[in-house]
Amino acid sequence: MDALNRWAFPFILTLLAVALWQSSAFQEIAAGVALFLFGMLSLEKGFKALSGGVLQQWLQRSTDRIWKSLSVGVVTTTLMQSSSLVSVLSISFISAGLIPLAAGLGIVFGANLGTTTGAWLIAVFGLKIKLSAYALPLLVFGIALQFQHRRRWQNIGHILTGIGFIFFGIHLMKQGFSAYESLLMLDGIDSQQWLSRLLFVAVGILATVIMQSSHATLVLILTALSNGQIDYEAALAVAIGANVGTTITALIGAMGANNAGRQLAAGHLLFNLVTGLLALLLLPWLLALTEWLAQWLGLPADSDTLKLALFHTLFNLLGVVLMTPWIHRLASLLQRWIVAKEADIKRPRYLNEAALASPASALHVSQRETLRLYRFCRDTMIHALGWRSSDFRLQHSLINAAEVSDAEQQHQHLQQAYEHRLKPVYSAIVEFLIQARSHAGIAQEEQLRRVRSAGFHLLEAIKGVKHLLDNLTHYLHQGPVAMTASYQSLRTQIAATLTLLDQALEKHDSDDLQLLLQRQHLQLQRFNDDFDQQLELLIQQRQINAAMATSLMTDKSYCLHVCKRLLMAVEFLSLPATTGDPDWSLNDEDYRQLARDGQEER
Amino acid sequence: MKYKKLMRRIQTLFDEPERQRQQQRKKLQRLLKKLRHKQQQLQHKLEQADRQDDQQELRDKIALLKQQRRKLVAALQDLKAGSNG
Repeated sequence: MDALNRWAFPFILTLLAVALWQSSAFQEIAAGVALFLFGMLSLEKGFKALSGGVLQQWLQRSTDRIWKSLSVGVVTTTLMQSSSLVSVLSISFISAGLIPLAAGLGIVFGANLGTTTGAWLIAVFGLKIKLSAYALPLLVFGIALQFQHRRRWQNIGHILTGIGFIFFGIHLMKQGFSAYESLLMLDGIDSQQWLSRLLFVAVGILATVIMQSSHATLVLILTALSNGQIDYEAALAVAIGANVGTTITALIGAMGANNAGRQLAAGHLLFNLVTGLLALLLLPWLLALTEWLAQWLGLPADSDTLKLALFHTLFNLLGVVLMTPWIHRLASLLQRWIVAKEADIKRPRYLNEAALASPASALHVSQRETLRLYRFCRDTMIHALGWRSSDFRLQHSLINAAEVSDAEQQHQHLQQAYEHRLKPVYSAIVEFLIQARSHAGIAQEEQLRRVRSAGFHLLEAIKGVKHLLDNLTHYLHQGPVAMTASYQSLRTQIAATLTLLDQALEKHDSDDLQLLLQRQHLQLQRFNDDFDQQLELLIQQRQINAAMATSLMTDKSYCLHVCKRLLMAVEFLSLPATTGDPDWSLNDEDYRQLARDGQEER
Repeated sequence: MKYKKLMRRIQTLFDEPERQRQQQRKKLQRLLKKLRHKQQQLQHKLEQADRQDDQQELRDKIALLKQQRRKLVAALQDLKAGSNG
């Protein structure tokens, strides 16, 4: 792809420069296409920001029934006037695991039908009304709104500017084509022959791939058709080609996606190829049907542009009707054809480039990946503290299960896990979050920042365990009984925190979760106070010497550090960002106060 | 609506910091109400709990909620004082 870009792009640019130099009419058409595409980009940007979570919510809610997915695909594409945006978002949602493949296919099928409304809009309004009269005021209002401080106004500004540029682009294209009237040779080719039809299909594919917008190809062909520079049947063939070519955006989007995303992109391509092929093979019958329907709808007999829009809708509808009953079988076939590689434990499992297309899916995948990082950390800690994770999960007696007595071996294991499992995954999360934050809004940016902090706290917890390990492994097996018991209580405290966090992560109510975490903070404060008292007693009774007491004091703070970092990680990962004052939440002083009050009551 | 009240509303509409304070106040009031409700629920559970561990957990959670509410009430008072001053 890179090599293709390196050679093809300069070649296309040079060709374009020569053509622009040679013909002023071509200049107008090319400028029209450029403005049209710029308008589409601006419109997409505005809609994306303005709809915010709404579009994403719609897409997410369409998972239970195929008819819902289809309707969502049709409605969203009609509103956004971009099937590519809807397809790319669906790929990102599928990659993030937010919707199943069958629902994604439903949305894409619906998007194909929704995109046909664009041809109607252009055919009905775009070519009859003098769009340039509306374009300039729209641009003026759009730009004025973009200078506003409020994001909502700015986004409306983007939409107005987008529409303005689209109108202006269509106007320029119309002008360009009217000047080209005698020069364009396309109507000279006999579109009745199959070979020429295939040629026009190829032209449609190529134009859409280059402009990455089937709308742009359609508007070009509709203007050419209205000016009589292209044969009606040839225009139909180009429209079929545009329908196939539009999958290019989804295919590019799927390159950075995971397996599920690629499966959807393949389904999209398959649908459009089958639909295109059917439309081409059934062209004579479809033409007859179009004529009959046009008469029945009362469309003017000489309006080829409206008939083209009708044909476009008909063949896409045909594809949807024929392929929707097979959607589940298609999904399972795609899942069988495009199989996931075995998951590599050192690499991120959920992060993928396609998820970056929407802040909601970026957030979702980064949360899932950080949860996976938490599980790695948890298993690493359990092993380092001398337990087997299977015992831990089954809640076997943890106190007597210590097996390993070699501190050096434990250190090595921890270091290896840190280097090969934890650090690579955390680095990938950080890199992904940096990219995701550049596309996110304020609220989502805060959530993404919290996910990064969660990962950071997990790694800090691991470092705390590393510090704790030397004395812990030593005293668990040697030294005075009082020291063994004290270190036992330190590691049991970490185990208790991990057990609680396992329970907490299953809670769905964020208020319950917060209360559970706060209570663990309080328990840690109590543990700290009790431990200090016990330590004083041991020194007074001369059960341990001063050096041992110092080690215990230091290691107690490492133990608390580990527990608090773990709590903070889960807090950042699972609780929503409080947009209010941080002074409102409970702090160490509050927990100290509450622990003291509790002691007095007892 | 009385003239003074109307003027106050219009003034708030154009005064960004005051509008934010008002939003914060409403948010705090909602939070307080939610916490009070949660505390009542836990209190009810405590009355029915038999096991000592469960009772201790519920007592802790109620104490945490009370402390949280105290902080929120203080924050609310600060906000009100800021608006009046």
